[in-house]
Amino acid sequence: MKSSSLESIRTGRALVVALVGATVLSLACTGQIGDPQNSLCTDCPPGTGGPGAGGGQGGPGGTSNAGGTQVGGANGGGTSSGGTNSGGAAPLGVAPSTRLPRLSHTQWENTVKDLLRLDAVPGLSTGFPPDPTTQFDTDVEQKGVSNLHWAAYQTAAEEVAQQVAQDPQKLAKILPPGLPGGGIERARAFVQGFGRRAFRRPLTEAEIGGYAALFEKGVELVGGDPLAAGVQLALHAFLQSPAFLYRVEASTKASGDRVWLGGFEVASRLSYALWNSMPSDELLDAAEAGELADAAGVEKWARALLKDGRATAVLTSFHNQLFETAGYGKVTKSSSLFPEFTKDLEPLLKQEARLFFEEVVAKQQGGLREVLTSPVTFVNDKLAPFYGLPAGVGPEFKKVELDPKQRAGVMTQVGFLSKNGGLVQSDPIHRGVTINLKILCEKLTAPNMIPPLPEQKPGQTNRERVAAHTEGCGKGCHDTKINPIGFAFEHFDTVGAWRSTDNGQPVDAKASMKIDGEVKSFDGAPGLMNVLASSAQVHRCYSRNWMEYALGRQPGEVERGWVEQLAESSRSGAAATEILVKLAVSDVFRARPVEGGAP
Amino acid sequence: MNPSNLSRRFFLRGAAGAVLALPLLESLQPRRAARADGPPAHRFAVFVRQGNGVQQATGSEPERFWPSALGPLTVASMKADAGRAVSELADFAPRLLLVRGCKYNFSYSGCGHADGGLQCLTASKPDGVNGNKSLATNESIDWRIARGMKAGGQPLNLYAGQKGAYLPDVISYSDAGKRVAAIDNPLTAYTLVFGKPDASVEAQNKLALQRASVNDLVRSQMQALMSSPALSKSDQQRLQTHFDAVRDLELKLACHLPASRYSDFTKIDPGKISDDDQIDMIVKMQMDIIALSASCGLHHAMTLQIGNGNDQTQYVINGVKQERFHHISHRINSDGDKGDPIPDADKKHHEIDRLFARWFRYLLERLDGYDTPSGKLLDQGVAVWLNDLASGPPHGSTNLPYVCAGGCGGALSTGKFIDAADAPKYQFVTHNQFLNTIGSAVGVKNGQGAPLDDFGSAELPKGRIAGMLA
Repeated sequence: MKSSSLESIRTGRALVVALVGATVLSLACTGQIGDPQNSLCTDCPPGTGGPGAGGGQGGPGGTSNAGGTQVGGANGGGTSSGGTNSGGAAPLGVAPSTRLPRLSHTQWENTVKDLLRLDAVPGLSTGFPPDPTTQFDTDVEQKGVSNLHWAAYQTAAEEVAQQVAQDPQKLAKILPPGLPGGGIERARAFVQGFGRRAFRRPLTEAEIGGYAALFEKGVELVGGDPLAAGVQLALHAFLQSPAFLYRVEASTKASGDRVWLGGFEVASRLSYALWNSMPSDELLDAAEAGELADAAGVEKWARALLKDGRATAVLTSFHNQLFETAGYGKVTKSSSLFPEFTKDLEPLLKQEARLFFEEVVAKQQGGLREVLTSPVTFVNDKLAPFYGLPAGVGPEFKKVELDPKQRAGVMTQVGFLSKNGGLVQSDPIHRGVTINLKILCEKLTAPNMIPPLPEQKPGQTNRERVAAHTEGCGKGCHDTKINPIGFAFEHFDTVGAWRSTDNGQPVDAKASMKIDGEVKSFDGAPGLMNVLASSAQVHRCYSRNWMEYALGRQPGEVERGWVEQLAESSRSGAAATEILVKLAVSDVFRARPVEGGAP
Repeated sequence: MNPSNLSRRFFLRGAAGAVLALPLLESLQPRRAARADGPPAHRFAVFVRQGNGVQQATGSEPERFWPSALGPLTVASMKADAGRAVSELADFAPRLLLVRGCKYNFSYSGCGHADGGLQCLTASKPDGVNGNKSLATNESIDWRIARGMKAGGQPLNLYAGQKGAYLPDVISYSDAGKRVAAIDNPLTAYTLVFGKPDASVEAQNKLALQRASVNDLVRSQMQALMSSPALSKSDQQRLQTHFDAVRDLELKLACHLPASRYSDFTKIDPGKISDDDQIDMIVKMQMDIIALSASCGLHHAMTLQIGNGNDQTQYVINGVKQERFHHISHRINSDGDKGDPIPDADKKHHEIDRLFARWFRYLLERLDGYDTPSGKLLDQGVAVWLNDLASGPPHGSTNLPYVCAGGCGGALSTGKFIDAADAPKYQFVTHNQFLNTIGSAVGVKNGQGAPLDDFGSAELPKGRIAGMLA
């Protein structure tokens, strides 16, 4: 299907939509479009929101209801620029964090695969209790071990230990070289060699003794071949040990206001930040040799790790979570107006995003500018029509260059646009709010209730409808922050197809807004993306997000200076991998604050 | 029966046919056994959460939830109130305790569902005006009960339905700001709580001995780690929770549903766990797990959240899939305040209330199917059906609907419908007092060793609801 034919069909559809009435979503307490964590700042008067029926709620005794509705309470409203530097010398401190970051479920899978030298991840974490939802799954503050987590770890450890120990080929892969023929010496040698990889540091003498003794019990408690039995029982315990499940940071030696992490601790931070898995043998050797004791050594190893395929998975995972690609293809569209937007697009849209990030960030070594502005994407025969591309692409994904006057970067791709689109119409509010939250790190606080958009009138563009509506409610936020961004996307309908008219009227995608203290004007999404790609606030936000992902926690106020350094680098065109290298060599990555600062 | 008796093998046979044999080995006793004078093994509280309020008298809408009169409840009186949702529970009338007149105290996070969800079991002040990102500022009552009943005890948190991105898990908090993600897959929950049932006794004994040795080693490592002075208080708590978990698991051996029922669990399609069409099956499986766990004395506190924060499930009533529940609760096809009216939305809301009542009845039947040395399991604890809002429109938070069943071994007064509000002035009672009453009935004490009366935000008045107590 050609772009022009899609467009003409939708122009007609829009008119129909206007006549039958649009289904519009409020943001205060919905849950229908993507993730309406997007909360707006409004100055809507009390009483404009709330469910439609009924009046005040009467008490059981027929008396009046004091404070019976939710509409009262504090007025929502207001914003703060989470990504804005408040001026003055930005501090270069180190914020406190847990000394016991627990492996995420993905990290558990990757670590077990690498530790046991398996061909694939074991896939057992699907039976683990879920962890609380956070922006990035690398969060370390919310993760603990409940009794059900423990049960899951226990069962998984037993299952994988048996699979490996009782399979001679798999067993051979994890036996240290030069293992003695039997007895306690063999047990100690296995524990010492394997244990360093499992704990990501050398074992203490007490630990070696304890695990060796357990190894020796294998014949009695497991049975069968003494070596296999000993390994199986030892693996049970290694995979349930706190030294395995947590990336324990025990360093306490202070120097000034810093506690510099030990080499093995830095190795773990590096490997989990850049690989989402355990350190390699070579990295552990480097730690043991003292190579990670200074920034130069860390930089050398960070660059080495980033050349590995596991780093590509990290680069992709970060951007997938930042742009919430897990929600791509899940937002329902009107089946009568958009019959081609079917459920089977969901995996295709996710694959398109993954291929884009792999290409732009990993293969081409791009940074935020490229993520926001590259006209490249990947399509197959199902996705091509949405971009107005001719048929004949075939079922396999192919790299294509889109018209740079229409499309620029990940947020002009169908996945993002349709996720932030309504049932029948484009959704400037959600598109604007999402970019404010994710790209600008604006903190938009919630109002009490938000009235839904009115129906689109005949001859009225969606932009005109939204502008008229937000003129009366939430103007302060919409005019300055949300609408200008959202309106820039008005050339894209709710499924992300290009349009030049809306409801029979020419699309107006021109807007202006203040960014970095200056008013910037743009026409359409590519213009907006160029403005964003040059913005200090945007690069500051991107850097904050990378720090949150890699450290597993949000950067503290005392760490603003590090954010600024990364942001400057990013703004000057640094690749995402270069941001990671700079982060890895920073104090915030290699040190903890002195004692007393821990939470 | 108390935990000190658990070293003896004993059997329970429930109406559902579950055969329980607990536990097998003397060596598998908890390392730090509960006090000899501690609470009975089968004392429990289970909280079944519905969202979006119930259809009770509001504005022009008639009363379709509560019984027609306060006072004693009998099978006959409840059946006579056939138009009321709670009449679905008539057969349990003598063991019911219906409580009206309670309210939430705080309302300012920016979203009523967020306010209600986080206060529901915490009686906590929200942590700020953060809309759906608001968090509770203290633990929830399930965690308070679990640790109050046994040092290091933890609740069982289960889920049924869509999780949704807006407000997924909303009710359970292990600590201030620590929201707990509940398990939505019954097979996962079953396996983690009871283990797989297909192993032979010999194999289980062999595995148990292996576990005992491994646990000894792991515990020693944890104790060494916990002794580090470098750990913050938060990290100490994190490790303590972990440490307690290691100790607690052995008692699950040989506690299983009949093989035919377990087989149903294994047929669940993980990809369809959250499908609306599956919710009846998932709810009942989770309730089977809850009843079995209570019967085995594995958990003293359990929760089942049905539906996400602003429940968007399309429930099936009389074979017809309805509009989204949240829309029905607004009476219009919208999550906001304007939209096309849903015809008979109040009646549809009532029918959904009845559906929840029937699910609650299913749970009561499961609990009543287990015998304990002290009598029926249902009477040893309390099951609570509650809602994180009071009503559909206007999503109020006063006159919260509380339906309790089971007398907690005689601690609660049952067979009646009471109004907790201060009668002459008609002032609603803050719901922390309801939670205090439930917690104390199960056996939880306050810091001074008296029955729990200070749960929730320190800003709230202390106390219990006298009318609920025996």
